[in-house]
Amino acid sequence: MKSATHHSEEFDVVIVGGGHAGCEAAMAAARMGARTTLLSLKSSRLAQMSCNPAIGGIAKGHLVREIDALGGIMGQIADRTGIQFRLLNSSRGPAVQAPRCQSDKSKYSNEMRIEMEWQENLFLQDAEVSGLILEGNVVKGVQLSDGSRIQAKAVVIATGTFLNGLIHIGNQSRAGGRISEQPSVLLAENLRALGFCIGRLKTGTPPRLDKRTINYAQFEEQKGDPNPTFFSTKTVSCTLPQISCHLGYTNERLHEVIRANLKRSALYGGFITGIGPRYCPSVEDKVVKFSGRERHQIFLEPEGLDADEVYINGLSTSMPEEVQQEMVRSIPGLEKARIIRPGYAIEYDFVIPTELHPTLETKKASGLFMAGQINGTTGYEEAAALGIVAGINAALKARRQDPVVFPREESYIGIMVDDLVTRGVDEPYRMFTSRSEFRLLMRIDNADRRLTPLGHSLGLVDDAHYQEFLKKYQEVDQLRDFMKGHRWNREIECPGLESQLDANAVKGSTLEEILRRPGINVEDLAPLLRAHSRMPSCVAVRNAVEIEIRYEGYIQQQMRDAEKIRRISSRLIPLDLDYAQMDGLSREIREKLKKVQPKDLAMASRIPGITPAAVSIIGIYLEMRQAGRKNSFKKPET
Amino acid sequence: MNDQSDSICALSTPAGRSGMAVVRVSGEKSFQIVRSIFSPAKHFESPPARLAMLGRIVDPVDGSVMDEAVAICFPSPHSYTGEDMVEISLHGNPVLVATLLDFLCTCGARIAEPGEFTMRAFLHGRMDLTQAEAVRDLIEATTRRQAQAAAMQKSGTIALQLKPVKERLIEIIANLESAIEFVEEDLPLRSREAVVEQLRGLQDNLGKWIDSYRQGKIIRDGFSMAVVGSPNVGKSSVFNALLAQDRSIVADAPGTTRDLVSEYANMGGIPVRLMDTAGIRQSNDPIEQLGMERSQQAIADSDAVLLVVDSSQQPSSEDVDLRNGIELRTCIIVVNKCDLPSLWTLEQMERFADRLPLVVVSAKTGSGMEQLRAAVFNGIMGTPAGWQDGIMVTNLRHCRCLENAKEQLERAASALIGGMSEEFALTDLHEALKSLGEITGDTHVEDVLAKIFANFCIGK
Repeated sequence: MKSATHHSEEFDVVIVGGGHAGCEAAMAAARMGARTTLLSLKSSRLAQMSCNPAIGGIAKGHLVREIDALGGIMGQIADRTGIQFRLLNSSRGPAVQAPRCQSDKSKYSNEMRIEMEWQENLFLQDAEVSGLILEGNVVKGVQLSDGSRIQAKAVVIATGTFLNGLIHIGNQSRAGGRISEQPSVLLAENLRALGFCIGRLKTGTPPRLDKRTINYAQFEEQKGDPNPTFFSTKTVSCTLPQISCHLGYTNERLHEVIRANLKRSALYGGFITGIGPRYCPSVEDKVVKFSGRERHQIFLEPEGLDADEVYINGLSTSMPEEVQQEMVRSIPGLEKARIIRPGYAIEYDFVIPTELHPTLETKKASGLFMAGQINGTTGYEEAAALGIVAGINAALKARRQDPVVFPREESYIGIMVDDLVTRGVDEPYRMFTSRSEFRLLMRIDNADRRLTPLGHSLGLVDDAHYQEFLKKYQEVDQLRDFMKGHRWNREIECPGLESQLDANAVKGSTLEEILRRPGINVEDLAPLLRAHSRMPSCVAVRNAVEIEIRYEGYIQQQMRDAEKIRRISSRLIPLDLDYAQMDGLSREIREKLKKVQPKDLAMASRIPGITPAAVSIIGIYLEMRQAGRKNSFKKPET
Repeated sequence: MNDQSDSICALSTPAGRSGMAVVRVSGEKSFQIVRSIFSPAKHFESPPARLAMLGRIVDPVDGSVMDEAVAICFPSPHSYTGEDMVEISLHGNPVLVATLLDFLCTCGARIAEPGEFTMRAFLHGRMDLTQAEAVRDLIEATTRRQAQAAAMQKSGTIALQLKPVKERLIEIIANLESAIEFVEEDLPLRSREAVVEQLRGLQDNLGKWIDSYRQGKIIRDGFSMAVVGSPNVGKSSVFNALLAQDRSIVADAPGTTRDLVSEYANMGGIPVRLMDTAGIRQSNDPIEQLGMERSQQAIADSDAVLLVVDSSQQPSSEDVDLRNGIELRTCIIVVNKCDLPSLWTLEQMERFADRLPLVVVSAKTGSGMEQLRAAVFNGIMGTPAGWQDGIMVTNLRHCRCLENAKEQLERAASALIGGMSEEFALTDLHEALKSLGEITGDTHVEDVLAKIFANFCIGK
């Protein structure tokens, strides 16, 4: 294990915080060759899963695939420590399918730590950062609470829920970043003092139960997929034994307990000011807001293979501990269940994300980046995705190279960053596939096609892997061309196929047309493809070809729409554009533009409240400026 | 922000009736678009630059001829906008203009925003600074107009009436999105059949409003109606009776009305421009011939025709010719002079009318004139479907948005019926929402999410 103990040392990149965002940022920066240190309160506890023991899911699984395609780490660690894999939406179209796994929490954390310890250029340290060192508006390093300093060319803050964290259980509140861990108060004060616009959010967790006190016979078993779908293209098989989860329901008795004790819940007792996510309501919320429902689902999810702790997904609560006990015991099968740790709600500070450029660098301080929950998001996957963006750009900053911006029309990562920096947030931001205007283009199967070339050019994807990627898509493109051009000769090729097709669809059909018939897949054409030495070598190629051919019409349509956005996005807005000079814009619109500082016309048009006419006016000023005729548009002196 | 790569079209002469109207098309595809609706009298391999081509405007769908017109192509960069541009000159009739714009949109153009031609000209460097200042002012004016329009939307216009439809669409979207995003949640979702049925309901709504566009246009722009017939059947008397004033010269000698006489009459609150025409017959008198030419033109230009016949005379071959010539048009048969003994049998009248509405009047005594007014009103307004709901679409751009939305709903419904996964139907539904958003103001995905979280208890 390498470690850096000289506190006067200078680094290219300093990462503050060892959660999912911090780890991904640190790995990316170090792999790109930046001398990087990751500072956390406890470096033996990296990449903790403070909430549910699972990674992925719809839209979140998409993010993990994208991180993997870029050369990030989350996908590999999740695959290695997964104890149940399921492909969600497997009965739907390819664009909304996404993998999810149950994880062994402690193994996840361990694997991540080992990976990071072995990473060249990366140094882990236990330290509490108390403030930033700035010269003018340029960040120069961080100040530690023990009085020492670390110099850096770029700093990434990824403090998660630790920034002024406040934990609530019933009417008891105490400062904390996670249960029984200290919050980061000094840094929060420092950020406020530097003038960052800070908001407050809330999230919560359910109680953890002792596995040995649960009667599983009362629950419905849920197994994983027999043929797991992994996150990383590098993974070939499961590493760990696979387990089941269990499904059960709340009942009227439990709802009655909640209603009787509602005033004692931190949320309904008025102890919490932060805003919680609507899609992750506490069970109190569910009972109050959906009083018509007789029951709500709960899932029992083991926290690990050897762990005694079981996570009750669906029972997030901030009730006092004795009420939680009563709630749990009203569920059949949990009559004797023992709570190991009670559920709690946590409030924390976040920096309003419109303070950030799309590179995740702050507008106030050059060289200062922010990633993860501090940006107003929720979820491990969202955090990791922001982490890799911040890590990449911090490393580029340290090298004085141009930053990378992820276009909205190419990835969920791009959508998330764009949503955050143009719209801000009023509740913890979670990724949904419906946030994408180009959902059919952003699939898990083509995450590599969308992002691996970028990952390779940044040095995050190694040459060997990149060659494999090129080979795969060469094969895809060749097979597509072949199927477009080749007409099926039914007398001599694939005679069995005819019975699967309706008669009038057959005559003179190309293989492409045949593949578009319902129920036909590449496998059905195998004898023909083999005869022409065209049978794809792997499932990934087969999938890609089937998807691209089957949904071509829809995909083409969305590609045209994406192209339109791309054209408007190519009209860049210089950062020094003076909106105050622009006649014809209302004061309100000018202020919005000044705050968000859109980087191009398309982004400007996405800012809430910006009218199409306002965008046209900016467009005209840009043209004027380009033509060097800037002054002629000034208002005449009166 | 509007895409600069779209081809745009607009009427560039003042709206309303005039001798000539000029419609401009600008953009990369403008030649291609015009080619599909304009058939030149002479064949050209490629669009000739700055040459006036005589030809016909044809319906791109069924190929029927709408009007004669002159088209001039201005290849880039030597045009007003600096893009490929076409100017089409046609007869200055609002109905023809609207139809032409409609054809152009069908072929891929879109209706230009106010000031868009000028803005493009500026962006392509076709203007000097003073002109650019004017553009800026224009866009400022647009901003103000949009502010006014937004204010109007709050006070009970089309946008307000569209709101519930949009709400229902958002709800459908939220329902389908929930199925995708929260697949493991135990949500009370609607069946596919139910969703398709809801979509059909929305399509019906939009359909009614699209139909109301024609009626809406009539209310705004008015409506023209030519009074035609053989000489001396009493066209001018009918005309005057409808106007309830003496405007046309009325005399017994055939051919009194040699020029066009037009006047606005109020029919149920709708301004109807009535045109009294010269009688149609064989004649060698050059002045009378000129009058008849104008009459033919008036018949061609008008939205509808009142064909007047004289029941005190035997049906003439001219009556029959006229009747046959206007078969396809909105027409009302007016059997005049019922104060005199009728030489037409009831059967003859019915055969002559052949399903067209027929009203028996005496312009002289005023008998039957109320029925005629009612028939004119009904003829103009057609089946007043949207009209009855108090919904009236009066803006061509709005009408296009509604048509697009309706088509997108149709595609979504067929995707669902065809067993496609929800996200495919949703692609079209989000587009439909965007189309409606162009009328009512945008809807962001957050609105959909808000609906999901309000309707369903999400969160494991």
